[in-house]
Amino acid sequence: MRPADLKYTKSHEWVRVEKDIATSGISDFAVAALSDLVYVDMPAVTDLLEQGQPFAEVESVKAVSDVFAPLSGEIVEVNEEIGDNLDLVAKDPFGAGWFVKFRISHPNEVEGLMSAEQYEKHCAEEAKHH
Amino acid sequence: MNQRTPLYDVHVALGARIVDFGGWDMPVQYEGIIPETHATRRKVGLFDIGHMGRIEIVGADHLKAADWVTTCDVLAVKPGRIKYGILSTERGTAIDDLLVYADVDRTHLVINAGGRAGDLAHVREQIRVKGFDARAIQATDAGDPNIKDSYLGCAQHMLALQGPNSQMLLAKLVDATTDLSKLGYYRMTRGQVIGLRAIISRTGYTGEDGFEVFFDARESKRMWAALVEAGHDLGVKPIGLGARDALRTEAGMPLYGHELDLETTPLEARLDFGVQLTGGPFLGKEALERQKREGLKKVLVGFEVDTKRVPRNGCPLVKDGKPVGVVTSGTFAPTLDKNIGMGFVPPSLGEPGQRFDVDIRGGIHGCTVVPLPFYKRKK
Repeated sequence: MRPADLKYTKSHEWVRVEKDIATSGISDFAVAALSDLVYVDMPAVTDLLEQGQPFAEVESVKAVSDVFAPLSGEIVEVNEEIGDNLDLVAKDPFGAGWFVKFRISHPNEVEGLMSAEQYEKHCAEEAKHH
Repeated sequence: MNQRTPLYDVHVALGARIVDFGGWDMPVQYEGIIPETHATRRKVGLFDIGHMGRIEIVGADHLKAADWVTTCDVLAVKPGRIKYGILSTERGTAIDDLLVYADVDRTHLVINAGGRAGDLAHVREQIRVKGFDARAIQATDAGDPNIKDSYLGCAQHMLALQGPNSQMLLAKLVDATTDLSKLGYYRMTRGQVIGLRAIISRTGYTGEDGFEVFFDARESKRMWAALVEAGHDLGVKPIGLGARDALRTEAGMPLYGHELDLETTPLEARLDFGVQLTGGPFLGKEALERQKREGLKKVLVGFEVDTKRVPRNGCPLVKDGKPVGVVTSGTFAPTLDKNIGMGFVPPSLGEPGQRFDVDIRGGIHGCTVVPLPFYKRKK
């Protein structure tokens, strides 16, 4: 079961909201779908995020995939650890494998995200089609 | 509805991720591309290559027909030998690339999945036009009207074993008269595997030692299970198309549709070893001779990138900000632990050590030309 205190997107990002700061990364489902991660191209601190727009790119052996901003905001911290250690993303996507922390600019956007329970159903649905 | 090999259910049961490849539902990976690449290089990998096409040319003129349609000098090839070559247009460009097996009384062509229908039609048309006493049989098709005249007499399936333990594995399952230690690289033999008639060749698409085996397609599941069981203590693993692509790219081998197509000649793709201009006439020979005389406008190169980004098929290659070519294949190379690519550039940029840039999704990254293949196994 995925962490219940997180919100999720259809494109398989997660976000943890703590007051005006959010932490975001990609879900275990995304990790399994990508498999064989080789590199993450990260944004920089002070970059602006716009909900639904790509902010990072994940390279796997087979393909490159965009990572989309779950909410709008300004990046305050980037996880430098994963650059040299993609296992953090592969093994602990909801913890040590986080991507960015950012200051939320439009708090009401959270309402459009999925709960863990809704996300569970979304993943089951997608798995059926693959 | 895509086509499936007789082993589709086996792949699904193994948890493979299935993708479309040239109209076929094929396993792209089981455990993962990186571990599967390592398993093949270090132990032995088992590949379902039933999607690949096989054409058998039979009749008195089978050698002449195979010689005419391919860039190989088939008439000079001794029975039991295999040549890599191109099915060429009159313009010298590639309809497909293939292996030509010179058997004692027939010639086998192993072709790409995507070329099955087109290659067969082309070969039959050329046999007709040239008036050869020969017939081309689609040896993978139980419905081919001449399937009974194929060597196996039935639709055939094909599996590959690749990796240093391949010979030890296959040796457990062949008949007493088949001595794999005597079967050289790019040689074929008729033999038996688990008591079934088969054609066994020392060939592959990975840069490792290994074998490809054709046998009765109805026995595919039994053959697969026997290879898995016999390979258990040799570290055998099933390998999907993802690792197959990484392995062949590391080995600098072309993939039709990427390094070769109807607008590209084998000389441009630096496949001169597959083009015998010293032999007799073949379709496309004059155009290739002319190109050799007049020089190439583009050449295939292998390159390494200065970035952790992976170059992909279609990424532009640029020099001093101007487009000079395009990436045809690119991957993270698990064996080399670096990012590699192949692509076409003008001959002036084709020598090892030369520098240009690759545009990966708008980011410009430096590249250095390196000799192909990227990876060569130790003998």
